[in-house]
Amino acid sequence: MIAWLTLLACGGAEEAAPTLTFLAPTDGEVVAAGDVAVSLVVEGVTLTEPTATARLDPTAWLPVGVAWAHGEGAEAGFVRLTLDGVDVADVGTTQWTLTGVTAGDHTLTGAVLFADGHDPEVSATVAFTAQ
Amino acid sequence: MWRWLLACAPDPTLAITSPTADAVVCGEPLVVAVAVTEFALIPMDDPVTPGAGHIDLILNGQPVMMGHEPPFDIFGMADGRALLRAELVGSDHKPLDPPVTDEVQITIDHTRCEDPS
Repeated sequence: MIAWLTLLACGGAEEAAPTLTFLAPTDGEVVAAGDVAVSLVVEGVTLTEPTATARLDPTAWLPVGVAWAHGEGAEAGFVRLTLDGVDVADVGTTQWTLTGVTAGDHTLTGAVLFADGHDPEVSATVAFTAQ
Repeated sequence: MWRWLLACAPDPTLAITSPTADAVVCGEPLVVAVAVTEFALIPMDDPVTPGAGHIDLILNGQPVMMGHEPPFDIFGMADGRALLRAELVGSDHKPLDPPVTDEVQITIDHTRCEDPS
C-alpha cells in the first residue's frame, strides 16, 4: 500500500508518442497573402530532411537517422505539408514558409511520416484566411 | 500516511526566466536563462545521482541543446513563432519522474535587430 501511495504521489513515467501541432498559422488566423510562415511543434520524431527514396517508395528501408544523444529512440521522420489538399512540401524542420499563398480561405495539414516510409498517422490541420 | 509523504523528496522546480512568455526576440544568440530549485546541476558525464542532472532545451519539440551551466546560448534560430521548452534530466539523460519542465512561446523576428541605416 505504501509503495502504491508513493507511486501515486510521485507520479509515473509515460511513453512519448509522436505529436504534431501548429504554432503558426493558428486555426482561424488571418494572415497576409503571399508568404505565410509555418511553425510546427513536432515531438517524438527526430526531424531529418526527407529523401527522394522515402518519398517515392514507402516500402524502402532507410537508416533510422541520427539518434539524439539522449537516445529516447525517437524515429527519424519529416512532415508533409498539404495546402488545400495539395502536397506542397516535405520538410525536415519545424519552420517553413509557404510562398504564393493566394487570398482566401485555406486549409493546411501537416502529417508526420517516418523516414522508413512508415506512416504513424499523426497529423494536424488548421484553417486560416489569407488576405 | 506520513511515511509515504517522507518517501518523496522536495519536488525539483524549473522555470524559464528569459525569454519571457510571448516575447519577441531578435539577434544572436538567443540567451535562455532558467531558475532551478531542489535539483543540482552537474556535468552530463557525471555518475547518475538522485536529485542531480542537467537541462535539455527543446525548440518546437526538437532537442537543440543540453547543459548544466545556464544561461544557455542558442544560435541559428529562424524567424517565426517558436515553443521553447526546458526539462530537467538525470545523467542517464532520462526525464525525471514526474517530468519537470517549463515552456514559453516566443516569436523570433530578426528584422527588429537590423540596423536601420
